[in-house]
Amino acid sequence: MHSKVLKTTALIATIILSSLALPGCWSSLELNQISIVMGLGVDAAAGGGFEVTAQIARPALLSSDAGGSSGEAYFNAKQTAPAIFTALRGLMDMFSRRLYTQQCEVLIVGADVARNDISTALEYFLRNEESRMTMPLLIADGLASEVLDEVTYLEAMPSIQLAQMADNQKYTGRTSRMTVFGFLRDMLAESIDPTAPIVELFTDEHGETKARISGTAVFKDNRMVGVLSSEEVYGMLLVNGQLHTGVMHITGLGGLIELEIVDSQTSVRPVLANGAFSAEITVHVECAIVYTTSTASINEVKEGLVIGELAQRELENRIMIAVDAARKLNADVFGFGQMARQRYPHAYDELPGGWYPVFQTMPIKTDIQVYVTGTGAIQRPLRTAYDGQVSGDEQKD
Amino acid sequence: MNEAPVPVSDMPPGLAGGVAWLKHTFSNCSDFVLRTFEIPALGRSAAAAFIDGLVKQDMITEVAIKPLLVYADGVGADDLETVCQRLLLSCETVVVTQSSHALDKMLHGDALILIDGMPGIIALNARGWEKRSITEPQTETVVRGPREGFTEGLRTNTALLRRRIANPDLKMELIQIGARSRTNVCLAYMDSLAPLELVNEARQRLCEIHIDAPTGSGTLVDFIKDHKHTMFDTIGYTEKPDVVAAKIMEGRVAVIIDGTPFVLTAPMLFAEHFQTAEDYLVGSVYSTFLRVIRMISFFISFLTPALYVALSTFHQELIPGTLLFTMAASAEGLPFTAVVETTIMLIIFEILKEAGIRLPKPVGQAVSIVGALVMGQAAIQAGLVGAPVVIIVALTGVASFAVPTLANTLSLLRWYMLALAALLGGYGVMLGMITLFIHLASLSSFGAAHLSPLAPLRHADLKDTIVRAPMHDMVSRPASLRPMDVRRVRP
Repeated sequence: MHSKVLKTTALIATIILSSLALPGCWSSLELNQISIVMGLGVDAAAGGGFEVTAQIARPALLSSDAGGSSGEAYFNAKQTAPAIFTALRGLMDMFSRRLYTQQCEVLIVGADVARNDISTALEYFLRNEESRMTMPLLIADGLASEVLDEVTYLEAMPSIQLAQMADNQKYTGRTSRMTVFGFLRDMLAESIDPTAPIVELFTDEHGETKARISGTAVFKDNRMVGVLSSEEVYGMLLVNGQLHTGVMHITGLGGLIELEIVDSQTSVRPVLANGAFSAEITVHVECAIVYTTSTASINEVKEGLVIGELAQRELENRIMIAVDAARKLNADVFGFGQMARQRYPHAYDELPGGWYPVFQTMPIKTDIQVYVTGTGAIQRPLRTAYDGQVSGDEQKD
Repeated sequence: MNEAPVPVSDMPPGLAGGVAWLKHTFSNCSDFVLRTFEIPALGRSAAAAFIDGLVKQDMITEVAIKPLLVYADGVGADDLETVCQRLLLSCETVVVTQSSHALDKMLHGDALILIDGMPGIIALNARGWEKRSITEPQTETVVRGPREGFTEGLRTNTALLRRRIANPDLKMELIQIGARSRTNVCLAYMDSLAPLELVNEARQRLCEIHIDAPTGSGTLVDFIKDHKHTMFDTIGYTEKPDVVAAKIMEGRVAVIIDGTPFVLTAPMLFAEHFQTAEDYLVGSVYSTFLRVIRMISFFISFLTPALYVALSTFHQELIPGTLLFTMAASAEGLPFTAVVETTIMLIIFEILKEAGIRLPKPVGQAVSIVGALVMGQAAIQAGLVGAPVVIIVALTGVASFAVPTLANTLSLLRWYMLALAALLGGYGVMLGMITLFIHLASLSSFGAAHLSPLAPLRHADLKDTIVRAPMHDMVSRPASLRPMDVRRVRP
């Protein structure tokens, strides 16, 4: 009995003690031994290789009691090397502190790298255990290093502003939102082609260089093959179920009606019938009227149905615009192919010319339901009252 | 009385012998008083002996000497028994024949009456000594509960308990502990509730204590607790009679020790650290909320320094960006590593705490103000430690007082977790938590698992653990304590 207890104790102690070696990282780092990298930019270097830009925070200037010290709360350090890891290590030659990339807010890939082969830049981030895979991925219109030099209005440094800007797209629906992880997932999967937002520089009214999101880059075979405009990407977001809130304009009932999407649910179903693939897209959208120049009494059921039908046609149209744009680039940004492969693996494998010929020609069937669930804080158009067309009785209720 | 075999007296014969014996025994005892007097009615001389300060002197005069001098005429008292029965009627008397017995009685406050020519000694209960009056306990103040607290007197304390449980089932066994001090200890329990084996075990453990003099409740705890090597209390203590009454009513035993206002209760469950007397006096929802707060405080109190060190030196990626900047900014230009900083501040805090308790009250306040405000602020401004560490240590210290009975243990546990965190980071913290819970689960208190009702899980008992259910819902006594009668609320 006693020896059994002893044996069990020894066993447990051995397991616990040997697991001490598991965490792998014995070395601790004090906060004043690390330099916190907030943003990374990857550009193609002139003679091959990469120029890596690291945006490093200067916490002493960020905190509220920075006192009299002046200067930016960050600095950008550049290093050119054949590989990203070498570049990052090379940066350490210039600094007193170790680069700490796990708080990195954003990864920006320059246009050159994106057009050439983006996988060469992303390989490091996928392989390195310490990468933050949830940071947003942005494609620079020009050089990533220049984007990281943009002027910020509210945030302390460009990388934070860029990350927030990418995140804001969930309210505007003008481009896709993509994390490094999501991008790599799509890139590695068969018959789905990843997209990523493009960030471009412009000069604002104060003459300062600012960055803004414009357009969506489409990738095929690891290369950026084209750009979807915000018009074109709208339908894609709808199909991909990323359009949770967004704005749509329709013309009808004698005026312009602006609708805000409150909620949308999308399901895509690939169908194989008679040896031919097609896609059935079902969309349920709830929206509210945010602005109208129409004089019709839009709070009636009948008008609601009319608006719904107009919106439905608009959305159908938007989806077809997106499909056409994607077909032009021959890139399946919707992932129809991946869904078809999951549902009909055998038929998919036996496709003679691969998926893309099917994607080009497959019929897309849409079933869109739009419900107008709100008219905002007022029921009748303001212009009706302005024009004096409402009788006194109606105004009272 | 006749049936009992009369032991052979070992006392010296005659009044002179007795007086000489007492004088010899109490030589150099300035508080020993011996008065000799004549009883004319009996034609005998007599002596009264007592310890000054333990008896009421005027009571001895009133109930012993006066009857003997005034009323003895014609009573016909020939031996001490008849003297007691016919003359000393107004107080508790007993005739002792053993010298050790007589000394024991006298040392616990009885007066001894010796009468020439009558073998034996009358021990007369005229106890009365200076004692502290019943006051509100300093350690467990309540807003809505009773304010009475135990005092240093054993009888006062048993009376406080008896007033709450007017039932002959409430047994109070007297046990003397301390080979030299002969301290009276009282084992109190409900005969119809406390399991027999618990009472026997408690009695046996108390009787097996062989020390010179128990100086307080803590001394006894060390002897009767189940596990000698643990920093967790497995025996409860309280200053409040209502708390003891409630615990006894759940089937526990209480140990009341003469000379200390702290009464021990056993078995003690870990969950009791999070229960207060107030819990049962305020609404059940509010007291549940307070219990959750206390549990959070418990974890904050021993985990925050460790988590701070682990996060700031191993897992910076887990800190929200903005907070990381603040922490990094305050770490700029600091001479020490996070763990050294935390150690320094924790030691300073412990020093302040210890000094604050021992110092006279007015000085103590000054020390805490100087210590807490000036030193904390100065340490930051001088660039000795960072502001986050001061916040963490302050939080840690304050949180530990939300669970006062655990505060001492938490002070130690903090260091254990801090050491693990400094060596192994978050992994070390997890390791520390696992070993902590293994240790807690291995503890028992008088046969009851210390972590019950959580481990082993007893669903019925959970009504008074994290949640404090309404009283009418707490139908059964805690099953972990194996009470003899389970139901306490009857429909």
